[in-house]
Amino acid sequence: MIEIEPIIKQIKRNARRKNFNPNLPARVWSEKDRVLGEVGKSFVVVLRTGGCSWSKKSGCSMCGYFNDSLNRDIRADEVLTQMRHALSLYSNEDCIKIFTSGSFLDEGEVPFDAQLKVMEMLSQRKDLRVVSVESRPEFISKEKLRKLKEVVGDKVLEVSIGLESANEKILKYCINKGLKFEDYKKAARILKKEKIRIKTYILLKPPFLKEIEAIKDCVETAKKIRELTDVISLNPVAVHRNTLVEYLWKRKEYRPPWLWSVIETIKEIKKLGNVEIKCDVTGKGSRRGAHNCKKCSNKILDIIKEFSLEQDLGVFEGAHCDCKYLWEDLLDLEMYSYGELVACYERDSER
Amino acid sequence: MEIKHRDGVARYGFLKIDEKRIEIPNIIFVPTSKLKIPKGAVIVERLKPEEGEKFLQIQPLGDSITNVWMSGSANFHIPIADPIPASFEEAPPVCYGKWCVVYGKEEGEIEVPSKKGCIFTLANAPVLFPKSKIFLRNILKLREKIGYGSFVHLPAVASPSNLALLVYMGVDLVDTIYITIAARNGYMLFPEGSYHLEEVEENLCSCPACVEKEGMERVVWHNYYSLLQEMERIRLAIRRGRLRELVEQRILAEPHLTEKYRIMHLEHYRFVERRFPVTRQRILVASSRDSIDYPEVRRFRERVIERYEKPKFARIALFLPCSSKKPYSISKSHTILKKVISSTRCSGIIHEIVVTSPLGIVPRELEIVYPAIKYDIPVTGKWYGEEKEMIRNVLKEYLRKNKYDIFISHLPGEINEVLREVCSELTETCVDHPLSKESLNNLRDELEKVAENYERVESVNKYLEVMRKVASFQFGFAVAEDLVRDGCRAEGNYPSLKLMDGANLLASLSRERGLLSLTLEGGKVLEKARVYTVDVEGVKSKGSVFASDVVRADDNIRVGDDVAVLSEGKLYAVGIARMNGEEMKELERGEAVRIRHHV
Repeated sequence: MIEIEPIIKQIKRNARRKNFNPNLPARVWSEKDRVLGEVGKSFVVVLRTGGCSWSKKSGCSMCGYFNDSLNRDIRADEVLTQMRHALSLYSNEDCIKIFTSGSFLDEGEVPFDAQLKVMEMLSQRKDLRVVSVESRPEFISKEKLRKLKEVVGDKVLEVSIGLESANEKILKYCINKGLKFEDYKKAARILKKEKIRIKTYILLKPPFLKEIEAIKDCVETAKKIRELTDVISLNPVAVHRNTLVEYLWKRKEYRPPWLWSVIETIKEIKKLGNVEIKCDVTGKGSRRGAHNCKKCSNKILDIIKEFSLEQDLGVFEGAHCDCKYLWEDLLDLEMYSYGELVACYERDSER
Repeated sequence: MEIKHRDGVARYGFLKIDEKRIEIPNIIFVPTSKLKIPKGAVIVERLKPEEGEKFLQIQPLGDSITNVWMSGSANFHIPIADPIPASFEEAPPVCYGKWCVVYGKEEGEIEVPSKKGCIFTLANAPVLFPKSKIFLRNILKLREKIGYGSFVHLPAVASPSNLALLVYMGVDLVDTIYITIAARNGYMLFPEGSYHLEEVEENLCSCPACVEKEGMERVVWHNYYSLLQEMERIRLAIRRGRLRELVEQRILAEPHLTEKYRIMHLEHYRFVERRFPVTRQRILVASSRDSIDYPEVRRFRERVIERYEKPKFARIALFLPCSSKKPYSISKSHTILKKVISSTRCSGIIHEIVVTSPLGIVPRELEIVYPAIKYDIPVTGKWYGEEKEMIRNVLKEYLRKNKYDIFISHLPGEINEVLREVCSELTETCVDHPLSKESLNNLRDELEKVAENYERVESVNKYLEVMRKVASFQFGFAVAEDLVRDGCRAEGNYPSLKLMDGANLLASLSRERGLLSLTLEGGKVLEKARVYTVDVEGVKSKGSVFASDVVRADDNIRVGDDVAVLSEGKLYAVGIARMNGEEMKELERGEAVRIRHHV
């Protein structure tokens, strides 16, 4: 049996790491977003931390966020300095999302003291309605959440969990996620009990899956978590630096999903019943991100963005391009090709 | 499974699955929800096979998540990798029944399960294909490991322009995946290359799709017809021993095709040589500058060094140009030259050596041997660098083993630079044209001058010498010595010669084969020497020896070789090998030796 963990570790060992200023957040921006079921605005803060605990130990096949991490643990005071910097740009958005390239709720990554202080800072913002953080399931505990919730006051607290897939085989052999579906369910139950909003990330097209398998897996996963989560965030894989996915992609053994697959997946999940599906496609339609052909990628990205805000399947009616025929055929052809086919059609367009 | 024809590594024959007889090489049609199966399809891959179809159905065992979805009615199954491989590089081979999937390796050797009579799919083929050296290494190693009795299936690569080359590399089964993808991108594929639909205004094609259909529909089906038609051409070419000629036209479509073609000859010579015949009916067309590296041509050069030594009488090496008529000596130019030579007093010690591309050097006695007896080259009077290099190398090697007192060149032009480098004190007798009055006078004068230093020598029987040299070229020195024994005579009208021992005919030489054809009497020599022998058990047929009868065969045997068939260690027959020695031993079906004479 072949495990991907050693390869991931090897790639990580060889990665060149940059130095960062521990007093500045990694990124800050404001975006249109769907907030508590209606169109609003979100303020996004990416904090610079020492990185994801799982990534330090092992890591996921597609995740390159460790490239943006400090080479040491962050101190509580530095977190607060970063937060203060960020908030100087805050202009009364409805929601603040705090990302860390890891787990905000992991005390090893963000000292608990700092977690509480950040919540306290946010609780004082009058217009703010939602505070959203991310965490792996193992850092989600009743006690911790109660304390945080107490501090954040009347704001809605939302926790996002990267489940990626409910299929154990895919979690283990394709992603190396380091958790089981059961772990997610346990965490989700706790969140529900504590009346905390849950957003669940589903990964579209982990490596080693055919396009059609990837779509099917997302739908299967959605089926299993529909009752457990408030929002599904569909995340198409983008090729991050220094990842197994990048290694395969460079060898043309991997292609990020087609935007047609994104649309197809959204439609199929919506068929299951009404669940909010967000989809933020990273990579801007480049070869590293989910993409279609050069002609239509941007247009289709806009349509997907529109859907994320409006949750209206009608927006997809205007989505068409000739490359959809190729995509449709590829779904079938991949069943017999014994390998990724991107080498076949990229060569064509370069001729 | 039955292989009917071989042309180098390529094969033409039949594959039998579930009582259906499938011609190979062949194309597996891969339908999609938009592409319905055409009427003429022979093999089809589909997820859910249906009852009562005329074509052979192949079903994959499932997908990586849900695994097996095999249905009972499927004729044939392709296995899936389980568990999902971490990367194709490290994926282990998987087998199900008679179908195996193997993964090409960028480094190291491809892992192949030792199973016989199976179909082997080279996975990750589209990824490997652009990397020529790696691809060649994998596809040829795969063939070497699975042997002659199994089939190579190459998915998602075939196009009309690369199909001939793929078959030339030994691929038996391809599919329609690549041509479908190309069509969806708007590319119309032809054997000579591709055009984008939008740039074609002309009526390029009259296939059914181009006549009846329009737009995308037309392109998709045009590509299919184009691939089918190319496959028909390839089968014909294999049957007629002309595949390489077809390949050389196709590989010009893209540099990487030519690259693969060359790498195959250059880096995998031993593998390829074993599969090339020692003689053909068809003339060897050497139009391309790649002809220097043809396996038969390189083998010829090697045998001139390894299985030939100059006649004992030869003291003077006389280098001559080739002629387009073969054998050279019956051409007009050589008739004139020979007249000059034989008129001189020293003709008995002169050794005529033809210098030619792509063969290198052809000593007069070997002009009758294939491919010297039938090859055709474009003649420009110019020698290219690689030709000079080749002549230099082969001549250097040759002269290390064969010593002459004097070197005379009657070749025109710059090739003399090379001869001068290799031969000490080369005399050049040709000015402008070899047959000009001045040139011929020079030659005569020079030969007369040289002759003064030698006693008059009677000409030996040159035809007997031909028999001896051809025998050694064909079977090695030991056999030649025994076959062309003391007291033998060579009779007949050159180039049709018979080797006689008293009243016994031992062998005959003909320009059609360019090799010796042994009689039973001649075959005794092979029986004694235990070379070029095939041991059989329980043969009753008077016409053929079948591979199933063969228990042992000399590894030196190539397609077209004369062999002695031994039954219980005793000579049973002589005939022509239809497969090489390795293949005879391995296969259970097919004609191994066509019998000429039997006891």
